[in-house]
Amino acid sequence: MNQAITTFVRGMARENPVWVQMLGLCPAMAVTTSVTNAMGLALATIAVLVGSNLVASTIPIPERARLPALVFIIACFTTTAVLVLEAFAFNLYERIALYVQIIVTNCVILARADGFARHNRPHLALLDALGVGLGFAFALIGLGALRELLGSGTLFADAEHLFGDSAASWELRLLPDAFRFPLALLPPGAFLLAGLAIALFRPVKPS
Amino acid sequence: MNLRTAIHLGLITSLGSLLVLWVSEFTEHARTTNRMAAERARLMELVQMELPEYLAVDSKGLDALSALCDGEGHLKTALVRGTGSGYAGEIKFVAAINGEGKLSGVRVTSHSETPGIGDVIEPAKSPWIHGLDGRDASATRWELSEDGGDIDAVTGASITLRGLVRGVGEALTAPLPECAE
Repeated sequence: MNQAITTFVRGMARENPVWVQMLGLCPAMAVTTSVTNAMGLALATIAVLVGSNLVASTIPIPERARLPALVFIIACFTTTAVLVLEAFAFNLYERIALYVQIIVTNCVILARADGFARHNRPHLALLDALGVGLGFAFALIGLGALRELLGSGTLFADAEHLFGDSAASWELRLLPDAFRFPLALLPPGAFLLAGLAIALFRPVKPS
Repeated sequence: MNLRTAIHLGLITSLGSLLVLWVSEFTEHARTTNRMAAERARLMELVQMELPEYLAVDSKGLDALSALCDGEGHLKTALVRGTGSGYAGEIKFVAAINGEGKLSGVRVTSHSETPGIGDVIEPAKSPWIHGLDGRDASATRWELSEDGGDIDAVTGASITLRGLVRGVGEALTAPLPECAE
């Protein structure tokens, strides 16, 4: 039981994939211009992570060809996620499809499948996927919220693209246009804010 | 040993391919409908009218040039597809011209310009693109005013707008389509 709880919790802070292990920084900075985009990519990543971890822990993976086998499994789940997005959340798909497609090269997922799921039972692999996935989501949504707030002065803009028409009213205008800081939306702004986040997580990093 | 690994890999790839194939079949209809509806919505906003059913808007969009005709064989609106070269790559757009050779409007369909600077070409971000509405396609000099043309630029976005304006001018030199009776 204890092992299950540790497996689930550690991905969120102490071993946060983005801010502590510094994996998946590329998608974390590319899509986080708004909270909605960040949530979309986070959900897609969690889905792929859960799928590939479950498969890697259930079926035997050939030891000598484990990397091609795992990358292939991850690619299958990524393609599935892209197709589902295109069919059921088309507006969001148009904006983040490029980054969802490259989930296949996201080292977080390969690292979990190869380093953890392959040697563990399915229920632990599932908890690990959810914990690490939530840690990834937490990093993305945090950065997305900060960048959207500073750069556009809003939060949850275009949420209806992800959650349907009823979410159209979720948009919060928090900063008047004069206080907007467009640098936060540009790639250099993402690097600056990501650097600050990594520094903040330094104290919790296991030595 | 090698043979066993190969068979093992073969099994995994076949199962995975089956999964992808099944999802692809299952979502085929919804995906095509979404793509066509998005393209149609963009064009309808531009020409401000219902697009007739015969005008098939597939996932690739319209042809380079398409005509919307009224019942008597007069051209109501011609849709012209074109590209300009912006600061960060191609800017794809659709322009609508009415029967008198006046521009009804231009809408950018895809671009990768700098957010906060070059995205003035999106109607949601800036009214700039509406400044092209109503211009005469042949009488307008399709250059920015700083280059001796008729179109005003926006500070910071000259390269983006120069590329787009030149692209529009170029696209409008094509002869308008005829309406078949």
